[in-house]
Parts: sequence; structure tokens; C-alpha cells
Amino acid sequence: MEKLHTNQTGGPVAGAPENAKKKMPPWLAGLIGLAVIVGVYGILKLLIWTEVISIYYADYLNLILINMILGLGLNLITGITGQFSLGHAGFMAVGAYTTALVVLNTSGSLVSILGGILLGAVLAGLLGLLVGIPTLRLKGDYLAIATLGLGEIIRIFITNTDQKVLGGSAGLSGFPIFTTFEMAFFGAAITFVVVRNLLKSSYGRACVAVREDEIAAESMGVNLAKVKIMAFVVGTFFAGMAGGLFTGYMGIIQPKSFDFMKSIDILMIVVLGGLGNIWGTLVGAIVLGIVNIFLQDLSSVRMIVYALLLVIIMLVKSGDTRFFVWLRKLFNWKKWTPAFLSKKSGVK
Amino acid sequence: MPILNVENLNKSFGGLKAVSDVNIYVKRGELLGLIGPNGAGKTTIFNLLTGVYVPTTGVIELTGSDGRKVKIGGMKPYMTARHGLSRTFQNIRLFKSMTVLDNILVGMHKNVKYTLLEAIFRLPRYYKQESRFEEQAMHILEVVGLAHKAQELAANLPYGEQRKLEIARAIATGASVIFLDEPAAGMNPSETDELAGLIVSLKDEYDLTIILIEHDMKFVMGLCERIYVLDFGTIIAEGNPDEIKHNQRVIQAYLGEEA
Amino acid sequence: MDFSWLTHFDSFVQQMINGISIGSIYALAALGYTMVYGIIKLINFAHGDILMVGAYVGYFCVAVFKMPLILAMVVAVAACGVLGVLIEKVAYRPLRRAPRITVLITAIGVSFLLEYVMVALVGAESKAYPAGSFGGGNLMLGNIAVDIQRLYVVGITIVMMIVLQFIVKRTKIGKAMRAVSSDADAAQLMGISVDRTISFTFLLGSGLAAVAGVMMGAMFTINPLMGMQPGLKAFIAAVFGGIGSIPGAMIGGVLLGVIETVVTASGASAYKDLAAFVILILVLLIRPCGILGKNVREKV
Repeated sequence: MEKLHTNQTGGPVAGAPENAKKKMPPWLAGLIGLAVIVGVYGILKLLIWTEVISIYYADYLNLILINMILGLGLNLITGITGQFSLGHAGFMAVGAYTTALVVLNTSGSLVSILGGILLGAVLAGLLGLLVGIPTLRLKGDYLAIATLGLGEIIRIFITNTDQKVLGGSAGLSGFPIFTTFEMAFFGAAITFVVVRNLLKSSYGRACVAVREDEIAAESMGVNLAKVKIMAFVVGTFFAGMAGGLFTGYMGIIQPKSFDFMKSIDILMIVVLGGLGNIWGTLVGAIVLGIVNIFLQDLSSVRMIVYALLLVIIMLVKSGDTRFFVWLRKLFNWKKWTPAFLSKKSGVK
Repeated sequence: MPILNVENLNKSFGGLKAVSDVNIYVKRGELLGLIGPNGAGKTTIFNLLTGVYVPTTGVIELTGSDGRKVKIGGMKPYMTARHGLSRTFQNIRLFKSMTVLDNILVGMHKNVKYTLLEAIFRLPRYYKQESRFEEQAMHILEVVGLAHKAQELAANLPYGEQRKLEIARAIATGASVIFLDEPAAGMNPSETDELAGLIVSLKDEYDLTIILIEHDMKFVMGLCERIYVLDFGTIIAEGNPDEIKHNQRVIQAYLGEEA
Repeated sequence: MDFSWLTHFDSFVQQMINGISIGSIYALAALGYTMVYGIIKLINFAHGDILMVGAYVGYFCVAVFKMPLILAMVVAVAACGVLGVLIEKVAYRPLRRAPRITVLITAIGVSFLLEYVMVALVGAESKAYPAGSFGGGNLMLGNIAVDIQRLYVVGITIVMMIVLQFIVKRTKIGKAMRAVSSDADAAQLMGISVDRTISFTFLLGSGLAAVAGVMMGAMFTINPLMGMQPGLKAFIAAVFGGIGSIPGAMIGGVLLGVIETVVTASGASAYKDLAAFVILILVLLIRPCGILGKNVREKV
């Protein structure tokens, strides 16, 4: 039994509450989940209201929440289903521009803002469907490059379309900063709940199975194409939603905000939090947000830190030379690591 | 009436003929063996029957429990699985970072009735089916003796138990025909005996037709009702274990090789 | 769209030479991708940045140490060769048995590391090689003026390709490379040192990238992020020609360069980069193995 425990501490954050919930009736578990979300919201709101979190950082918090949405979407595609996408920022751009156009061409009321965000998410998801059907046949690295290409195509397309419509490289502006803390928080909460519920259903298990072994999954009756496309559409839907919120956060959007670097930023969150671990993604977004605050004025140092983190996390996690095995043992990696560095998938 | 009928099956890779003019039938409820020296094309036949490979020519016909016939040659693996075929792999292909229970549940995925939205919004059908799935999965695990390890990661199981889990996962799909690719490979004699008992009891409990590839002659001869012998991609003999043991061509092609 | 350049023979020739020279650079870089992919199935994301490092080494040799360009090229090849081998040893080798996604993420990390360490070292602004370091002026072919630099590029590329072909086809280490690429485990059992062969492949690929980098630097300007675009393009060229195939990389590179030049010359320069990505996606969807590549199947 002891062994069983250490094996399972891979996702302590994820594991502990799940197991406890299992014995509960579903309505109670749902209620507790809701209470936790409202509770976290209440606490954060109180901290902002009492200015324990200053206005500056409260603003920053919105960005972190938006990044959580992006990270969760990409984690579903890349971490959970194992389909390496490097074009997430492209789908974000679709949502961002759609929302901006809706807000610019309507009254800009709350209804039109939320409608714009929803429309942006739907269009991003639709594009994901359209793009996913042909490209998800590709394996591993090819898919990565194809999605990278698609992201770039979206960006180049926006840059070169008629300036009157999409604003060219100067981008779109002239709409208010409309993203409130409530929007960002509940956007992130909804995303988390959706991805978590998906993950803990038969569909989520199919996603993980596809990541683990496509041939075995298919032989068990899992329709690979369908599962991959489902994950891709859900992930890109949320990328679109995050794009809409990002529009309202920035007050101006430009094609260059959605370049390859942005896709890497999002990947960074997912990798830092642990591929496949959705609690980790939340932690990853927070940690990266804090790192960014400190390194805001040193963008080249920030990138060096990012790059080193990517390489080191990968090497320490799976490096098989003596040095890295020793390092893993030295820190007894699995026992104490927080979820955001663990190797486990996050499914139970 | 055969549940599975294979006629003139051919498969070539480039210029290489891996399987040529194979005719096989499998009776419902049969425990059939497929043997032959290394490289004879046994696994290729499994791959053709389960849809991993597309036959170059030939017909593979499956008769459902309702008597309806379906041509499954060239179907994708997930479609053959939906028609009631399932399998294990020579080089164990479990979902390693998933728990034992989840491995079984993936096998059941094709029977899922609730939609994605019902799962996301946690509607009653989700709960109903999830708990039924879990019950069924735990039952299968009990039969194969892995229930106490339901929450362990598949990767952490010892080798023999991984083999068993793979069989359990195949059964969980609700398949009527199961292909076992070297189920006893790497097992010691007592494990092999235990496995033979398990296969028989699973066959009875789940009303299965089983086709297996195995190199352990004692295992095959003791377990299978009928055996096909494959050499260089063609069937060289067919019959019950006794007939096979005394078949001159088999001894030459296969057993003679070892002497 | 403006296709008038097609109707004038001289501008047609000039555009073709432009295309072939850009394509030569892509081809040189594509060779690195293709060889590394062939041997360890990794898209070496950092390859374009090795090209960038090569351009900088060349720049310092020419601008600071006043070396002739050809000597600068040799120094750059040596420096990048060592860098490539080092990167493989430190970052990729420990991950040889890890899932591909892990290695790919590492490669992306290495790429950014090279870029931003360079930014920290020399600043982000563009620099230019001293004027005239790569020859200059035009060569008159009849009444068609052809940029001499471009001819140099094509010439140097052809020499490099011949050298590479010789190494791969005629030498012992070349034979080892081909063996490891077709089956690393079997090669190991035959007594070939897989580690050394992989190191050599990185050395060779990085060296070629350095040549491409110096030529690019001498023709245009250099900056720490200059490797990204040609890196991607070269990868696309490698896929286009059939990844893992050396002649494929050459053909893919030249074709891509010509196609881009045609798009630019036809007045759609804004969509030049789009063309490459569209080609990539079309190739991946229609013929993922590329022009000369072979289909591989996973063993079940």
C-alpha cells in the first residue's frame, strides 16, 4: 500500500480532492465545487477592494486569468491529447479580432461585449474544426510545424487584409478597456470546469489514451480523428474566448500580439505546469505571471529565463543520463514536487 | 456457421509477400491457435483482421450474433472494434500513465452513450453510465485478479499482470472475437498455466471466440481446440492439436527447425 | 499581381538567379534539418539559430579581425560545428529515449536560448558586414546584368553539396551515418558508435548552416532573430523535398527560393512568407513524404 501511495503522489493537488469527492453524492460535490469557485472569487475581490492587491496588480491578475484560459485550452490539445500545437495564438487572434469588430460596430453594451466574446470563441472553434480535420492526421512534429504555419498564416493574413477592415499591422483600437475582473475570473473558472469535466469523462480518457498509444486506442474502438478534433475544437474555442478577453484587456490589438512568440508563451505555461495536468496549468500561469512582473523591463533576460526553464524542465523530467537520473533522485522528485513539475497525467 | 471467414487473403509490402492466399474460418465460441515460425506472418494476419493493415486482396467476413454478415477487410481498427473484434499486442501496448481501471474504461469508450455536452454539464446520464461502466470494469478486474490494483498506474504493474490487463481491456470493449498476440510470452511455466486457466474461464464467462498466436507449444496444444500453422505467409496445416503434432509438413517446417 | 517580369528575358533571368541564390541558402540550411531528422527523428528547432550564430561569427571575423570572407567562413563553420555538437550532447542526448514532444520542446528552448543570449551579448539592433566584403558589382552575361554575390552564393552552395555528397556516399563516417539513420540499434550492434555518428551529423549540419549564415549576413544584414525565418523556410524546404533525403533538401530549397521570388516579383511580396507556409501545409496534406521522401510505417 505504501508503494501505491508514492506512485500516486504525482498529482497531489489533483489527486487528493478527487478521491475524497468520489464517495460524495454528485450534487454535493458539484455544490462544493461551486462554493470553492465563489469563495476564491470572494477572497480575490475582497483583496482587490481593500487594495491588498493594488490596482496595478489587479489589472495584472486579469492577464494571468486570461493566460490560464489559453493554457487550459492548449493543455487539452497538447498535454492531454498529445497533439503538439504551436499555433494557439492564431486562434486567439480570431477571437480577439472578432470581439473587437463586434464591439466597434455595436453599442458596446455588456450584452454586445459578451456576445462578441462568444462569437469569437465560436469562430475560433469553427476554424479549429476546419483546420483540424486535415492537419490532425499528421503525427507529432509534423503537426507542430503545420500548426505553427497555420498560426503564421492567420497573422500574415490579418496584417495584409484591407486596412479598413482589420487595421493592417497597426491593428484595431478605439474601443474601451472592457474586460472586468469578473469576466476574466469566471471565464477562467468556466474553462477549468469544462476541461476538468471533460477530462473525467469517457471522452477525456479517450484523449489520454490517444496520447499514450494511438494504435492501441484505435484497436479499442476509439475513433482517433474524432477524439483529436474534439480536443482541438474545444481548445481553440477557449483560445478564441481568451482572445476576446485579451482585446478588452489591452484596448488595442495588433497582429504582432499573436505571433509565434505568443504561442510559445502559452506553451510555456503548460510545460511549466506539467503537460496534461490542469491544476498545474493554473499554477503555471501564476508562476509565469510573477516571473513576468519581475522581468518586465528586461525582456531579453525574460526570454533567456523562459528558454532555460523549458530546457531544464524537460531534461530534469525525462533526461536519462546518469546526471539527470541522479538529480531526480537527489530531489526525490516525485515525493515533494508540486503538481506543476510532476510527470503524471493529471487524470485521477 | 463460422463467425469469421477469411478467403484468399493476401498482403504484400512493396514487393514482399507477407501473407498469400490465406483461407481461415473461425467457429463461434472456438479457441483457435495460430502458430508458425518467426516471420511467418502471424501478426500480419492479426493486423489484417483487426484493420491495422489493409489487405492487398481477399475477403474477411464477420457474422454478427444476429446472423448478418459484414465485410470488415480494409476497415479502420476502430470500426472493426465496433463490429466486435478486439485484441492484445505482442509488445504490450497499455496506456501506461493511466490507472488500471482507466485502461479498462478506455476499452468501454466505444459504448459510451452520453454526449460530450452531457459530460461537461454533468447531466444524469453521465453519472448513470459512469457508475455502470465502473461496476462492469471492476467486475472484469476481479475476474482477472487485478481489482486490488485498480488505482495503480498501468506502468507500475509487473509484466505478467500487464499481459492480463491487456486481455481484460480487450474484453471490456464487449468484443465477441478476441485476438491474443503471444499472451504467454515471457511468462514462467506456473504463470503460463494460470493464464491458460484464465483464458478458458474468460471465454466461458464472456461468451468469447478466441484466436491466439503463441510460441509456447505446450500452452497452445493444451488450450486450443483447433490450430492453423503458418509458414512463409501460407497456411501449411490445419487440425486439432493431435493432428498438428503428427503432421509431417509441420514437423519439417517448424518443429524440425528446432531439432 | 504583375507578371510583366515574365515577358522580359533579362528580368526573368535575374529573378531566376535571385530565386536560386535564396534557394541555395535555404537548401544549405535544409540539409542540416534533413540529416538530423533522418538520424534522430528530431526537428532541430535551433538549427536556424545556429545559422544566425554563424553569421555573427563571420561578422566579427570580417569586421573586427579584418579577415577575408572565405577565412571568416571557415572560422564560422568550425565555431558552429562545435556549437552544434555541444547542443546535441547537453540538450538532446539525455532525451534520446524520451517522448518526441519532450525533445521538441527542448529544441524550442535551445532556439530561444541562442537568440536571446545573442541579444544580451551584442544587442538586438541590426548590423551589416563591411561593404564589399563579399565582392560586389554586376557580371554582364550578354546584356543581362547579374549580381556577382548571387553567383558566389550559388557557386559556394554547389561546392558544399559536392563535398557533402562525397562525405555521405564515399567515406566511412558517411556510411555510418546512413546505417544509423536506417536503424540505430542494428548499427550499434554492428559496432558503429551511434553517439559519435550523431555528433558528426550535427557537426556537418551546423557547419553547412554556418556557411549559409555567413553568406546571408554578407548579402543582407544580421540580427539575433535573423535565424528564425530562414530556419522555418529551410525546414519547409526539407519537408518539401522529402525529409531525411539529402537530394530532396537541395531540390526543396531551390524550389522554395524560386517560388518565393516568383511571388515577390509578381507584386505580392507581402504574401511571400505566406507562400512558404501554404506550400508546407499542402505538402503535408497531399504528400507528407515530400518529393523524394519515403513512406515509413510504424511496426505493430
